[in-house]
Amino acid sequence: MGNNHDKHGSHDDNHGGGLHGHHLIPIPVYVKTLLALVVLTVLTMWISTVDLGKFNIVGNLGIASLKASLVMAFFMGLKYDNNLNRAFILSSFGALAILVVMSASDLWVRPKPLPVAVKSAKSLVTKENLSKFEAGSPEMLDSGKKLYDMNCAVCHGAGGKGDGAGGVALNPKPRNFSADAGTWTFGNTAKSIYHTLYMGSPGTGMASYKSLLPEDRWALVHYVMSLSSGNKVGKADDKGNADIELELASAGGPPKPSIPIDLAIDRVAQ
Amino acid sequence: MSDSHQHADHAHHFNSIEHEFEAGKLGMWLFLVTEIMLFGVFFAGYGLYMYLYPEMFREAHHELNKWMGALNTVVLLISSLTMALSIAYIQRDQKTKSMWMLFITLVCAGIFMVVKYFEYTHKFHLGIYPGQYFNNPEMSAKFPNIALFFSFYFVMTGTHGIHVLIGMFAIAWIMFRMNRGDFNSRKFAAVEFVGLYWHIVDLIWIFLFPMVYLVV
Amino acid sequence: MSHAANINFYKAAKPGIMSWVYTLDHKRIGLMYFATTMLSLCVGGIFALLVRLELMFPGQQLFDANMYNKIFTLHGAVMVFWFIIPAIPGVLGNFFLPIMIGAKDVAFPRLNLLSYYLLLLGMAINLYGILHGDGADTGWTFYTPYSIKTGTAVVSMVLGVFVMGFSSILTGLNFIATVHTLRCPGMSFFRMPLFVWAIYSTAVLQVLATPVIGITTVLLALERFMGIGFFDPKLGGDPVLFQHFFWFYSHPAVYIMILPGMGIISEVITTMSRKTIFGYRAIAFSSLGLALVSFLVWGHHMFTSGQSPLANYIFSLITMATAVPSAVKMFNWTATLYKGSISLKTPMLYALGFLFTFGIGGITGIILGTLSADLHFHDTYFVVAHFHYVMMGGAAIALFSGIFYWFPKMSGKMYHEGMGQLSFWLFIFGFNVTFLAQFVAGLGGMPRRYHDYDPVYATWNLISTVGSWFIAAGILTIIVNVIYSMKNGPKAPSNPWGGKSLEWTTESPPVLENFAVVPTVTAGPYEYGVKA
Repeated sequence: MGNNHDKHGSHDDNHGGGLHGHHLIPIPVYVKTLLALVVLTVLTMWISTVDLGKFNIVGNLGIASLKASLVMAFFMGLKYDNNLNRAFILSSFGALAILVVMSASDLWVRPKPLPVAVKSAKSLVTKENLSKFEAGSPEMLDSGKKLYDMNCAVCHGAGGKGDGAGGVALNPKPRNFSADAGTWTFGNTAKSIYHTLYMGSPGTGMASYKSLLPEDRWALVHYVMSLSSGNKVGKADDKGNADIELELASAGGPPKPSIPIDLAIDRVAQ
Repeated sequence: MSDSHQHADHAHHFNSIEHEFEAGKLGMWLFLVTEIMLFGVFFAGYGLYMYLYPEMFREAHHELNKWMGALNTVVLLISSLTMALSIAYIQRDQKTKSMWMLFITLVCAGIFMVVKYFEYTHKFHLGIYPGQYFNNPEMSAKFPNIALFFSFYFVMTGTHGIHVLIGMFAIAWIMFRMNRGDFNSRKFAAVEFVGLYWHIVDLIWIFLFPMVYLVV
Repeated sequence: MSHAANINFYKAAKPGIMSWVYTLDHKRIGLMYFATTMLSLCVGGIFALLVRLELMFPGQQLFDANMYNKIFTLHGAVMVFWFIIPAIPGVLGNFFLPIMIGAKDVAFPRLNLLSYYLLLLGMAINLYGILHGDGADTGWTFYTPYSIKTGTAVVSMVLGVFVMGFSSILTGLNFIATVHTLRCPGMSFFRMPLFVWAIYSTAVLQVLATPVIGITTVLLALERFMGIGFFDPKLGGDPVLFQHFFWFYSHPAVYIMILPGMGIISEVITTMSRKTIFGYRAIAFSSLGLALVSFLVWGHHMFTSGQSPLANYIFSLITMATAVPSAVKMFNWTATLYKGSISLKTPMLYALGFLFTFGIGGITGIILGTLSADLHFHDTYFVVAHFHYVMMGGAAIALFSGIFYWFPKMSGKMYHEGMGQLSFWLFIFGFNVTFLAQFVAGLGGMPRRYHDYDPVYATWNLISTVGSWFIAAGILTIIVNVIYSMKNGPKAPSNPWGGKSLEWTTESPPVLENFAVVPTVTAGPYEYGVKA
């Protein structure tokens, strides 16, 4: 970067003011740049009122890039500056482009993360319509099957025989719904199954499904019953009743914890 | 080793004030590179999600007032001009005009923040808050994930607003120094560098406005 | 001022701590980084020893699962952010970059001091989280959604990273400006030492990549405070997006860690073989090339995260390309050694060790970059062994080589050669025992980040833990050597190794402004066997 001269006076300015070698941009250039920028702003607003489909975003981004180039070239002086500063600023846009394009090769190609419909904590089940849920319906069977396939089949098997791949290593093995009713921990009546879903089965791999809404659990109850062929025996219908009472009482309250409190207390105690 | 150190108008490891200026400018541009990368992440996330949820973004952006956004755009563009002019004037040793330009830049920035204030309070009024505090059931009913758009809106405009505020302090500081007589046509590096920062703030908004306010 | 410029830099300011606290001298700043990063190495090392103690035998030895999670997280976070990323640029880059190009200081000395204090501030914020909160238990990668939900002090850890990120950015900014504007007369780009090329390439990464993790940490903090939902599937966000943003920085970050080390190896091997480096331009361009390619491969950390197959293929394919610049360097260093007049002093021993351990590390990296293989190796000890081979057997070992190589220049004293050799053998033995055992365990399927393991891996874990004690002994020996020699070492000449780059033409230690007279350069930095 040149010799070691640093004597104060050796830089008598003969360039009409400004630093030696520093380019003075004429003032009209600045003003014209602003006018161009304002025109482009109007243009981009106008384009946004016309539906060009995908080209809207292309057009808007294109105009924005043009405006940015004008700001960089004239207001920031890059047009008159050395290559290095230009190279660095372009490299940052390049790096961003890489980030977007390669992330898009993932995010835009996968099935998109669908938002779980944020149902409010309010369940559809109320004291008045409880009997409908207890009785079941073809729609509930349908919805129950969907829920079963998503949540239960992995351990209990597609046909409910307890032969799902995820249950192979479990001890005790997942319930075979065709098995004799007497072998079920809580029994295989509707309320017993509801209780099992609500609390889970402590000491086994059967977790609690309190995180599901009551109507979903009722749907599952009916579907599981359709898979179960054993005679119905209720061991713990009282417990099932207690669960339902509790839920109706606190309906619309704060979201429930996903581990049953009793289980949590158990674990902490251990 | 020269003995001009008592007159040194530049740091000892540089050869001259021009040398120092060019190095400083390079340093400033490198800093601007980091600002672009910083905001770029927001734009990247925004763009990635906009492709995935076009209808939601379209619906949500109607809550934004594009005229206020356009006003802010023009205000910032004007402030960029006045900032550039303040440098042009000090390069020509016209200190008073330079000060006026800085002042107008500051006023424009202030207008920007005031408009922003009105935009934000209007949103809060409708229950539109960032993140988990979003509380507009009517909108949530249309699209369960509509809060995502507004999270982006608040984070992007909020961060930009913080940068505007920082810029305002920097400009005020430069005005103070200019008034004190620190700058002339040979020595104005600080004004130039604050100017470069200010233009980047404008540049971010140039992209933000169409992408967020004008989605169709 | 011109008076002081000719005294050695230690004596050029009033004695006392204030001459360090307010210094603008890049050499003093480099030494402060030295003390700090060595301390960080010890802190991170203690966490490592604790991890290994827990894993010495199956079953719980010292910590339950939750505590263990915090310990390995802190081991990683401290080593990465407090030690490896700042160390070589902060210590040796700061001290030697200006001298090697014939400058009196870096371009922005005050910014340099600020960088150092930002590192301290970031460490302090982390410490607050560790001592007042309970650190973090997420792994140093802070993956969502766990990092959003966990009750540990993730925000402190992550905000510390944000601040330390700025330390790194400003250092990189400073170095780029220095190389472009402060080269002395005659110092063209292709006469710069390769260490400068390496630091420059690193600096480009520091400036371009670090802001991304800065913002990502802010987004994580906002997610925890405000539930903004960018990474939350309930709102249509994507937890994998966090990984994209995180690794967009963290992959270039591993090159921030290794490139300066490679620069040191170029210096040590050439000087201590007394032979011109083989393929100067190839090594110079491969440094830049590696930096550029590093931006294109981050997804290879995410092969099993649920990334699309398309992205998986692209990232795996491009990862193969990263082998090329690294291999160019390895072959060129080997060719430099060939028929050289090799001096087996401590710096050279560490450099030769590097060739062995980084070779293994690099090749296992390519194995992991192979998509089909990685599906099995991901999250096993194979990965852990790989990255320790490149980070410890690469960056750290190169740092040790550089410390011994430049110790006489920095301190004016000679280190103790016997202790140096001992430290090398302890380290290289311990390192390979520790981590080769982990390759075997990983091949056998032992998962990483587990506080316990199937007894089938017991032998390898025991071996690995015993190896870690030798590493500790080796590093301890280095530190003792440095402290002892700074006090009692014999006076060192200006050029103990017969090096040809500019730092060897200055005094040991250098004067305040590095050179009594600004040099004018007429030849390259490695012209051995050429007319002077």
